[in-house]
Amino acid sequence: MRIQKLTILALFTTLSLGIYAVEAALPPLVPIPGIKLGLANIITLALLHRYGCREALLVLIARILLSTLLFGQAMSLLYSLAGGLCCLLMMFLVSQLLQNKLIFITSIMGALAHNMAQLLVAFAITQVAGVLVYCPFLILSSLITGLFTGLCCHFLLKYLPASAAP
Amino acid sequence: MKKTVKNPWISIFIIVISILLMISILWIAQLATHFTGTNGTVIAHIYQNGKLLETIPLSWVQEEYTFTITGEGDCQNIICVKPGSIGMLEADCPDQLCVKQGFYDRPTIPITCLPNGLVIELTLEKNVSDDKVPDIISY
Repeated sequence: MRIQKLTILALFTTLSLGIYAVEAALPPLVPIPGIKLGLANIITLALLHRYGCREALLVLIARILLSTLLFGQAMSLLYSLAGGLCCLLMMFLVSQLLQNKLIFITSIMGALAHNMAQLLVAFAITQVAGVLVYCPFLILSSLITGLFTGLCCHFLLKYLPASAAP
Repeated sequence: MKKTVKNPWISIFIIVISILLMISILWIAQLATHFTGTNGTVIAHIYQNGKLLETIPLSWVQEEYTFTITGEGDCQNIICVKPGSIGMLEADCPDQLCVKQGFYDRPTIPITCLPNGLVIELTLEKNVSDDKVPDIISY
């Protein structure tokens, strides 16, 4: 049973890392830093929904460490960790309140938490009040991308075999 | 007949999301009207990790020139200044988002290279006297 769980979580980590790499290779949607689809969050949300917060956290941290090691630099680790952890915390709270229903609302709230956390880290590092001008663009984009990834996750959970439970 | 109990949090979250949607759209509309005013001198302020490095009045720039800013850990950003506009030409950060932002000629959103902590903020100032801004010709 333990080995099965380990294997499945490793598989999901690989999946989210692959999705992250593909997304990083795509040209940005709009030339504003911070706006991206956040497709790797589909996996985090699916794990949170199907298995629980602990499993989602393990896969999220493994994915962030691996992606920083492979594609990023030391500074992006800070942004990714702040965004990812705030996003997971928010999604955990919202999914508890909604009793795992309406997964796209969970996803939108998670995207909002992710973007706001990254904006605050950006403000703390650059210490230029001007970066806060990004705020409305980030809110609007997180509503749209959160809805998109939430719907992706909804359809993923529909087709993900129940036997994949660890 | 069994009455279905609706989760009140669903309506709360839908209201929160709608309010945020309206706020962000109004905020962007307000910024858009703010950006269109062009009377005055456009000044570029270049910051790295909160420290002001350069102040360049873009309206006074006669000839195109480039310069390199080297920050902590030897990270490099090559900035290009053209008459009236500024942009990031090259950067050694992995995502290259600052380069893709292109050239800006008015105070919209700042050009930001987060991995290198570099921000180019443009402001519009009505009355700028010659002695207020350092001489950029000598740069």
